[in-house]
Amino acid sequence: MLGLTLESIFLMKVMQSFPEEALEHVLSFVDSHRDRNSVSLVCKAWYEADRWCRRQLFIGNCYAVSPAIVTRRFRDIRSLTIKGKPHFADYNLVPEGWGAHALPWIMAMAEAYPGLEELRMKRMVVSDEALELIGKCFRNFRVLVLCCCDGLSTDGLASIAANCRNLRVLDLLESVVIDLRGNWISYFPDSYTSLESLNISCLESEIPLSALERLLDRCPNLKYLTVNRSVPLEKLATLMDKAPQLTDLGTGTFMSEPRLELLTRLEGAFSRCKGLKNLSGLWDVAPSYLPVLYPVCSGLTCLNLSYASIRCPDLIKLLSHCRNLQRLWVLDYIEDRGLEVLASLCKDLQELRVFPSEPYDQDPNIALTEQGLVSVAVGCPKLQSVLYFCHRMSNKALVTIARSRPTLTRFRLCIIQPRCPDYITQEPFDEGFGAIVEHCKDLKRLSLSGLITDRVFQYIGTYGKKIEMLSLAFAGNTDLGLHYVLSGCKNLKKLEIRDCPFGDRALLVNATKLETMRSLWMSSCQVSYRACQLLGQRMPRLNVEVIHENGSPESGSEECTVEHLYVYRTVAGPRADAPGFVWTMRCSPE
Amino acid sequence: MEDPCFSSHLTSQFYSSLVQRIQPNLVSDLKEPSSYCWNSMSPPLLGIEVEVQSKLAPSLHPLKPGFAERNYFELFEYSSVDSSTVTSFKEDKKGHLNLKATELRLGLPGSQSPERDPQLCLLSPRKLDVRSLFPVFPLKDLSALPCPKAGVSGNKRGFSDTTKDVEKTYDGQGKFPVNGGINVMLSSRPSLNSGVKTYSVNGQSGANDGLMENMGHKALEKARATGEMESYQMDASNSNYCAPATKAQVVGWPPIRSYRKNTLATASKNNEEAEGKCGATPPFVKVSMDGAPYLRKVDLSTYSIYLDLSSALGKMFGCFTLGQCGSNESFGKESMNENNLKDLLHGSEYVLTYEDKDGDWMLVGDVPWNSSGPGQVGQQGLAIPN
Repeated sequence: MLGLTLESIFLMKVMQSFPEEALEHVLSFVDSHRDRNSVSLVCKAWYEADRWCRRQLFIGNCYAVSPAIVTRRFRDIRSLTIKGKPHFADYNLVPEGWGAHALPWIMAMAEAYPGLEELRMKRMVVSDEALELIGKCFRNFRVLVLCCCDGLSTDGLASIAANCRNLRVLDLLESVVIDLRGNWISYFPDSYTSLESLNISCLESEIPLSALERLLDRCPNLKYLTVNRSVPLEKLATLMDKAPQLTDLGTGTFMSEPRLELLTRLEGAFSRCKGLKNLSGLWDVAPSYLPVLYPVCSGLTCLNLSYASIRCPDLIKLLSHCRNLQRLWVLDYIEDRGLEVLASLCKDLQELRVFPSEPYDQDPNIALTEQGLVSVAVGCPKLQSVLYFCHRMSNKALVTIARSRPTLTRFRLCIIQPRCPDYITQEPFDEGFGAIVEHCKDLKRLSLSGLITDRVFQYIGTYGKKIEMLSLAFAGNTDLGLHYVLSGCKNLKKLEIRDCPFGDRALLVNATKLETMRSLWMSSCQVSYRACQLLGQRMPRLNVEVIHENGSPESGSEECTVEHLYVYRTVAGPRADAPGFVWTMRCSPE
Repeated sequence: MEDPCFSSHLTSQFYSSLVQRIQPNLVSDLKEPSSYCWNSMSPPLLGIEVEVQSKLAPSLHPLKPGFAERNYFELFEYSSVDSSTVTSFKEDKKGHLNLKATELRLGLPGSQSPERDPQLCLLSPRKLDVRSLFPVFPLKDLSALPCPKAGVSGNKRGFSDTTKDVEKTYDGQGKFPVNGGINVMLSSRPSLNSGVKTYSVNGQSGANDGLMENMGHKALEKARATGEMESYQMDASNSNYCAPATKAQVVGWPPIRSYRKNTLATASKNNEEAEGKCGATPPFVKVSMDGAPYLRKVDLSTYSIYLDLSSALGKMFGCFTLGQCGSNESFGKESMNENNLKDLLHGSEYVLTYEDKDGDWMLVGDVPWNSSGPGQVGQQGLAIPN
């Protein structure tokens, strides 16, 4: 707001005379949604310009805003990204039927933005009806990405295939799709040729291969193809021959009886895919077929072996060919020695994820320990992102990792036994994780595990100034821990907590902090129903959802703890589609 | 590791004085929500923090050092025994467990709801309370407690109630039904296996209960004597913590997407089958002959009918027989058929038997070859019929 000095009046006149078209043109180069949001806050003129010309919209929490508000504000959106359920829904902590329905959004978009081209949804419930609507209403629809979604069936896919003439991308990343045994791929009309990316690895049943082959025949621009496990190795060679221009390939099952003829065919197919950069799938690998991959290994930047049951010796042989890897997802069969080899060979490695092959086995026979991670952290200078499951860890290892690799931006460590201490000193991991947050100044995402006391939260609150997402489980001693985090981490956006002894006090004291965050999830903690009511009453711009499946929380004493608490900021008020086990705390009427 | 800029003492002071400021308002709010008095301050919570910060600078809390932490809890007069108990909020380098805060109190401190007294009484004989004071497995108890049922005092259920319910919801597959809503760690074998340490809070292992009760009683006495609760060293017990225990399945832990879990489960199953198919580990079976000085092993997958098997065995063990019934010479394939085989078997001194998976000795040849895969035949033996 400018004061009414002569100078400021002059400035205002200058700004008003700045042609809108020029402003809009300049703004069209501002892509990042955060920058766009900042732009819209500069002044009214810029807000209006952004309203008018924003084409890509990112909604991090579908209940933070309503479809009506969006359609009222933006004139013409072409690309929409929405995220629904909280992250812990991936681990079955959010009861079925909680919400995040896509249909209301798609109905609103259909009316307001018929020119919508791209829709990316994560953890939403997408019904077949919604998919049919997409097919019918958006003439120029091009990109459909459903990441970890559910609620759809192959009938919905069939309607997309049949109706979206300009579809380029169909990506069902780890979604749950009900298989109704229709031949949905054959619904792509014969005139349809524009497919560029197809990811159907999450489908469980057999894909009709002849229809897929015909599709590949007529789509010369197909660059990303990820099939599901049912596609046998014999067919893979056929498919690859039809699409040698692939850059991303997800194979089906990689097992067959050793046959020279098939080996030769596959070798030929892979050597013809010169541009292959990303390889995944590789279910049920027969080691004798691994050598067919060697021709493409040197060009690979991303390799996902996290479903591949390859043991260490074969893994090492394979990895020794992949010197340019930037991202590797692998099972713990890689063992420490495999990771040492990785560290010595793949100097471009940026992301490493090691998943457990036997997550429920208390005494597994895998030689993967903290040493593997230490070797990679020490050896790979570009390492940024780590997800590591292991059975033991030490503070010494964590400090070494922190000191060697201050470039880490994502560090997620899961020590499989809850509250497991340092195996050498039997101490909590406070010093280790403290070192991580102290040295890795750009750390944006952190997940803790093992034995943790309040002290680590003090470190996090002090040093973790850039942390945006923090995941805690079985950690901490008192409310002070939560208080440190909420009061110290300035950039905290998402906090998810399970089974920690955090209660009402820290939550209420830091209530205003919650408005600066996207969401807070607490399950199996010590938050009382009374505190939730209090929070809901005093903070009208927060939705405080108590998820309580054992009857109404009001039926018990008010000091009864709630099962799950989900607090998120919103401008849309309490949602209308909350199921019976979700109680949204009401604001007190003023 | 350097200390952060504010000392731990100051932090706890700040925090405690902060809560002191809030506490009167919060307490009254708990009683009568309608008479909420935060309207006078706007924005309510921010105002409080700002107020306190300015107060903090000039002087520390006027009371004696160390008081601040203890004062936090003494301010809130508990009508039960634990009113005299205090915990230290100060940062202990060894990470002592802050017991007071982990005490079985649900809700904001200072609220004096009469119905809570019986549960908070340390003299309660119920195991649940004692264990909750020494949460080696911190506070799983509290989360395991759903809303109270009528008739049970307040909002704590008896230990037996809890286990009963938990066992009800556990469906025996290591998975909790989604609607169960109780995130409790359970051992997969809900038996009171005292020798086994689990990290199940419901203390299915008797040993755990005993240990904690003893320590509980000790501390109880001390608490009554000195009016202060000793913080409990977690270190000693933590060394036991990671001992491999019986399989305990917690909902959503370890944090692996169900998509991946399902895929891995079928992957390992397929692998076992496929390994058999691809001949990664051929199904060798031991064959012994009575009276022979050593045993032989045969690869069952190289045979397709019993005829082949018995002829091969005959060749292997031929050197041990005395050429009875022309068993060596007439083992040519062309002259063999099922009937001949049977004649030979019946005629010769030796028959082929095998021990099946139930441990019974069976005659080879009854079951069609295809069905008797490598997994079923245990061991084959040639035995002389009586």
